Amino acid sequence: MPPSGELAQLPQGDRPPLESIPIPGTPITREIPALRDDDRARRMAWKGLEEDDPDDGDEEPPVDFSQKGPLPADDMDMTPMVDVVFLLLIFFMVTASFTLQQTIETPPAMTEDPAFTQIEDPTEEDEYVEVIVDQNNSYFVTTRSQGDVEAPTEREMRERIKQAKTDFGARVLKIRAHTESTHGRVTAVWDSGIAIGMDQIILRTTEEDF
Amino acid sequence: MTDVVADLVDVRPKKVKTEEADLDITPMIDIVFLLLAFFVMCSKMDPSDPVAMPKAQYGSTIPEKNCIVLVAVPGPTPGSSLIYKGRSKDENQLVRASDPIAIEEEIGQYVESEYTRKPDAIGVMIKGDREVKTGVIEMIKRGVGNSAMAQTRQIFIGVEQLR
Repeated sequence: MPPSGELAQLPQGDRPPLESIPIPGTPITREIPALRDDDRARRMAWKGLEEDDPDDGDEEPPVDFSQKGPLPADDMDMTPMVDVVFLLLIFFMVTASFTLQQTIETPPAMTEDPAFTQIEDPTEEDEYVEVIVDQNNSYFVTTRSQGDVEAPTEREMRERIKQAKTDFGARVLKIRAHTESTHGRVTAVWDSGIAIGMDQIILRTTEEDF
Repeated sequence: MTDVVADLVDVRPKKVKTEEADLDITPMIDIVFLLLAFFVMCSKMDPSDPVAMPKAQYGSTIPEKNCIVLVAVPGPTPGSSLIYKGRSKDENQLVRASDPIAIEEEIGQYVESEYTRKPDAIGVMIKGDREVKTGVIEMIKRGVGNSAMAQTRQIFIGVEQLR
């Protein structure tokens, strides 16, 4: 039903406030939908958006424009990303500043003339086990009970040193390495000595073939 | 009539577009960082490490930056070795001398100058390839012994942790 009475004749621009409009003889409840429609049309014109379908628009609640539009896209939460980035930053800083290296500690270097180096004979108190690494990188283990027994593998060499320690209480490991033997093989003997718990490890090199 | 025109112009697609721009990229970032962390953890920590050091079970861990580092690797010809004064295989840091006595002197001078520069260094670290001859490592040790300051400090033989 079209709006009737004074309201209908009023021009669009200078409509008086709703409360001041006298509506003679017409129940106010019938006029409100028309007023709301007009009001909404004006708001939509201001927003520059499409006009709602007037057929079903009356039953729906008014559209709340404040919650729509491009605002949620800009509102992305950066906090988790920043968290992860800082975590990575800390990780790299820690690993970069502390480049740790596994090492085997050896005594300070001493310059000594080989011609004057006195090699002490082993005494009964100094029970020892000697490992020879020859020019072909083979291991020979000498203990009090057995002399120069070849140990084909590192595992066997280690077992023999262990046995010498348990059977005879050997506390000193002497390594005699040929200068042509490889660094890796000699280090393996040294590591075995640490693993078994020898009190003292002495490394001596020689150029004489075994 | 105005309704018909509004339908023809159809502003609705614009509305749909703004909704698509609202795509949540958080899971994508999560996955990307997860992959990044995975590759960081799986890759070798120091790929520039040029030396295949001997494997050992009971090495002690020390910070490399507190040491004077010497590197020994096998040379181009069988049986030969190259010694570098520093932690990288830099051509400028190669020990040029060929005579064993001259090599030892050159190493001794380098260690002495490094100790003068870094007086708080805890020792000399020799990072020798596992295929280098024992004689070469001993020669480096003797060279280090030429430095008076090195005679009171430890020598560390670099190893790889045996897993």
